[in-house]
Amino acid sequence: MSQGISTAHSVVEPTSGTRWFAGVVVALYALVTIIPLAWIIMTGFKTPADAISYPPKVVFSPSVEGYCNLFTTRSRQTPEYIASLPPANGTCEQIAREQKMVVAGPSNFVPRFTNSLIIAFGSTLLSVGFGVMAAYAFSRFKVPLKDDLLFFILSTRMMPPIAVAIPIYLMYRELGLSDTRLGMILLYSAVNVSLAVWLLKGFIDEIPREYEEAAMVDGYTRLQAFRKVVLPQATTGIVATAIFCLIFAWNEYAFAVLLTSGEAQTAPPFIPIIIGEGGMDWPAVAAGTTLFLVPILIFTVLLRKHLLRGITFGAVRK
Amino acid sequence: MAEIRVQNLHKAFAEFTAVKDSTFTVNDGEFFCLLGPSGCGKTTTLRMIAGLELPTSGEIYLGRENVTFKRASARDIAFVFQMFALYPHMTVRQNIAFPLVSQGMPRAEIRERVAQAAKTLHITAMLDQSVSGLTSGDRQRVALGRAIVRQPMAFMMDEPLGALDTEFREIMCAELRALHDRLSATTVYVTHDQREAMSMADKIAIMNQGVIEQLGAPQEIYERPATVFVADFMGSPSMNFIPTTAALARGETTLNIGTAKLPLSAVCDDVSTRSLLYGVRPEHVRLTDDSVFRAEVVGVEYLGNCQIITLNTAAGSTVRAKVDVGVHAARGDQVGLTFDAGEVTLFDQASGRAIPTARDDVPMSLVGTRVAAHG
Ligand SMILES: Nc1ncnc2c1ncn2[C@@H]1O[C@H](COP(=O)(O)OP(=O)(O)OP(=O)(O)O)[C@@H](O)[C@H]1O
Ligand SMILES: [Mg+2]
Repeated sequence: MSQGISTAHSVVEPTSGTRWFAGVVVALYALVTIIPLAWIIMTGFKTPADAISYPPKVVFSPSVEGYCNLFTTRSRQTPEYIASLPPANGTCEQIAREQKMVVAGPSNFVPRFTNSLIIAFGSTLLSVGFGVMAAYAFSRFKVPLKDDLLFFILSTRMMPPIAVAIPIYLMYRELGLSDTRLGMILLYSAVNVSLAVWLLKGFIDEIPREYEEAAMVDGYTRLQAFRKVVLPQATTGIVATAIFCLIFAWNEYAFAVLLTSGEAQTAPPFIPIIIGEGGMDWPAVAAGTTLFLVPILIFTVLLRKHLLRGITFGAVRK
Repeated sequence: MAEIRVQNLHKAFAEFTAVKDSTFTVNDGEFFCLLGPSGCGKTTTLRMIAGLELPTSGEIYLGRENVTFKRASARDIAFVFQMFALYPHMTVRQNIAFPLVSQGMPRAEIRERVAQAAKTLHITAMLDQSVSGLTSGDRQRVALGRAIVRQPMAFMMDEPLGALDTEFREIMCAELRALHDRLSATTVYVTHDQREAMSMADKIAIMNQGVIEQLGAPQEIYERPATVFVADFMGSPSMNFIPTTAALARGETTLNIGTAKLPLSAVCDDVSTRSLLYGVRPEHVRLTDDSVFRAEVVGVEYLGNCQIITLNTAAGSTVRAKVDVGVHAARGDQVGLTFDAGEVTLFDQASGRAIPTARDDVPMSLVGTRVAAHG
């Protein structure tokens, strides 16, 4: 008081100045990460001409041409033929006609997107499923050479998975797993399971053994105790791990290019090579990218509550 | 309910032996305390009885049945953990019902039984709350509820009051004992708090480094400790030990320490020359001026209803006396100390065991009479 220092604020809480500064930093960072995203979404609604105009257009008249081109294939026709057709039904047909084209049929986007969904969620399920069981075993049982095994599991992540692409390619060709969904599910699960074991072991270590022991003296087998007591307690960890696994499998590009070409091709290798007339169809690529973001966004938002708690590893206990 | 018989139970973790050759019986309906310092193997013993740990050797009987290697879930023993182990993802009701659900009991009966248990423990009002919001005392009750709702053959409790604060612990002590009397449930209760054990137990086993040092009723353990460890562990302040070296003939009733002749109950056998400890509890030390066993007052602690006086004897040992607040003593006073033969326990220092005296021939049940006769 004698020095005129304000004692009104708490010494452990940040001051309003600090808060303001932190807010600005966060806002700047958000801006930097959001601009490319916003650009992609905008491009999806541009016409091909607007998309490649220079200087880039920030204000433009929106069009769904990109989305139409993403979902359909079109063929060019003579003006006489187009004039002879009955009036266009549907927006996409209309847009096509304006460019002297007709919609020939659906594109491969939906099957590729479906592949992505099946492969990403399938492999996430497998890696988290195996991961949680292995993590439980490592956490609770005397496993011979436990530390060496855990190190070995981690060591599979010490090089980029693509470094072993050639042996895997040859192996998959022999086994008939090339360009199959099963092959991709197994591959992504194999890569993710090491991460899952390590993450989940941390979470399960935090759950006191007494919970299972209480269930076991109360008449449950170990497996039942695991299901009814350990799994619900580990939800946070399972969710956090699932999101990491899903993001990896969903975005994986290198293996997808190498091992899938038709039947089992996922969206990442498909989207960037959508070709329009006379070059890349950027609005269609941007539209595909926008849609590609949606599932992860939904998944993450739905599980956000668990994720925020789970991401602060180790601090799971309230 | 059933009796529990533990025979030559042994448990080793790698090189370390946690429980050595334990043998005891918990009678049907008895409240049995395993008491000992931290790390002495209490929890390990309890976990073996419950089936959460398998013994290295030895046998455990529940009633007539040998359950030594039976799965925990098949033993019909309830366990109350120190940290309660209530499932945070379930409500109080679900927690209490959890053991019944495993038995496939019909829903209506589960409701009935849960309501009954809740009533017994006065937690009916909180049945539909989540356990995470409860105070530790209420959690304690819910944990007990989960144990009693099963009506098991026996209860195992591992320091169930350890997480409570002192004041509440005393209330729960009384509640637990009352609950036990109502259910007359065979209970094995682990604690390192001698006051808890003394106030609740029918029988106490004192453990030290994996070994049961003495087994008996609280009074027996307090008044007739079998070993130096037990004598030292029980009572606060703990027993005084005055060391000396002497030989005693059978029937001897005094022990020479310096110039003083200290009284004893008649020793039952000849004792060859050896190091002895003359053990007497602080409350049995009396300050008198005419005794030749002299000591100097070095400290006085006033405790309200009594005072603890710390003295240094001429021979250099420290003795503490618990005396009335009316006794005047000040630092530096020279006083004489007297002891009653009946209150003295003599120990062999090398083995740590008590030397049998005539006092041990009087059955414990008559001790009360003896005290009454004195008073
Ligand atoms: N799983 C185990 N592996 C190795 N050593 C163990 C294991 N469990 C217990 N011990 C050891 O056995 C000894 C006895 O442990 P126990 O838990 O029975 O002690 P306690 O009497 O219950 O002690 P406290 O009062 O601290 O709970 C301890 O020294 C402990 O370190
Ligand atoms: Mg213990």
